[in-house]
Amino acid sequence: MPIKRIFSFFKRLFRKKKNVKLGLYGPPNSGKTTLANRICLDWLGEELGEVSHIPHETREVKVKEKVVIEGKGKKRIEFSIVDTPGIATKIDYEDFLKHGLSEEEAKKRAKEATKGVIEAIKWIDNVDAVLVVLDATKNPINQVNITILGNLEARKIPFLIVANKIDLKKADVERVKEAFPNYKVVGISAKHGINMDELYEKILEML
Amino acid sequence: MVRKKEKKEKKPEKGIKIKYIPYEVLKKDKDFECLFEPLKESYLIIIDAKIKPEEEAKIIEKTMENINLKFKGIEISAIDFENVDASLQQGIKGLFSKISEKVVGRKKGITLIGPADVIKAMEKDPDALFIHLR
Repeated sequence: MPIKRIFSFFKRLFRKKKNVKLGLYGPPNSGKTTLANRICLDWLGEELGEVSHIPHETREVKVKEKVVIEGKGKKRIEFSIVDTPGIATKIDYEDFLKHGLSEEEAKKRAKEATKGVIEAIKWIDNVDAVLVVLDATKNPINQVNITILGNLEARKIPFLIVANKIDLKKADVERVKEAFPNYKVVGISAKHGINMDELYEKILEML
Repeated sequence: MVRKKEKKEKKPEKGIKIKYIPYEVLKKDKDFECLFEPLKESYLIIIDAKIKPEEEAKIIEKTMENINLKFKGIEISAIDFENVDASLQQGIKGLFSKISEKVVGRKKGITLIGPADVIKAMEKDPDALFIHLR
């Protein structure tokens, strides 16, 4: 609805900087929660959520308020970090069975995951800026990533593409940059804290 | 003595069912119900426009509401005809397309949506699409 979008745009424009909400979006298993935990650990001393190798570990939106980051030029900003469930177009409970879950657990997880995706999409209108977290070991050109970026552009929400997992051999940050030449891309390893300083500087520039 | 011919069981034909849905029909259907009936019957849907990102997001939302033990979700991909050729002539045509897109609300291209139990993946090249079947 265009009126809702215009209202959200002005709400973001005039909102005081201390109420900034930074959303983490991306496909499942790209490392959004790992990154949220890394940021919270670095600046608050505590983690935000649980991580797992099983997709759709995060099945509801989680918010951590009053995260304050400081840059080299002593610029500082306070924001809330919003960790969202991975956005997917299909969810099959049988995929969870392969990770050792029982049928009952797998079906429950699948149902929660579908609700999580819906919640993540609805939350797009509530964030002020976004880190689009992609797995740098995978082909970045897929419809989910394009849909996320397209929705952020349509809503005029500033975003930064984070190519995660650069600690892995198959990671290819250049491929991500070539896939999205018009956008800023930062390569990091959220798990091992690699290149986080550059990410924090880019977040300060964005916010 | 005449041998009775053994009736051979007909093997199910390999193939894919395609349904065309005009973009104008999709736009009028706020809940995109026109998509899910054929998707649940294993049709690959072709829409004669590149749908907007907000529409894609809404379709993903509705897909999640429709997922059950039989229907696992969708694969979706779109080709934007305007980005295929970046020549100046196309650029001028692209400008008129952008204006008409604002007025009519329709972007040149196609969108394909297939059920996840039929379509394994849709791999995108800038001007081509590879559909991997299960």
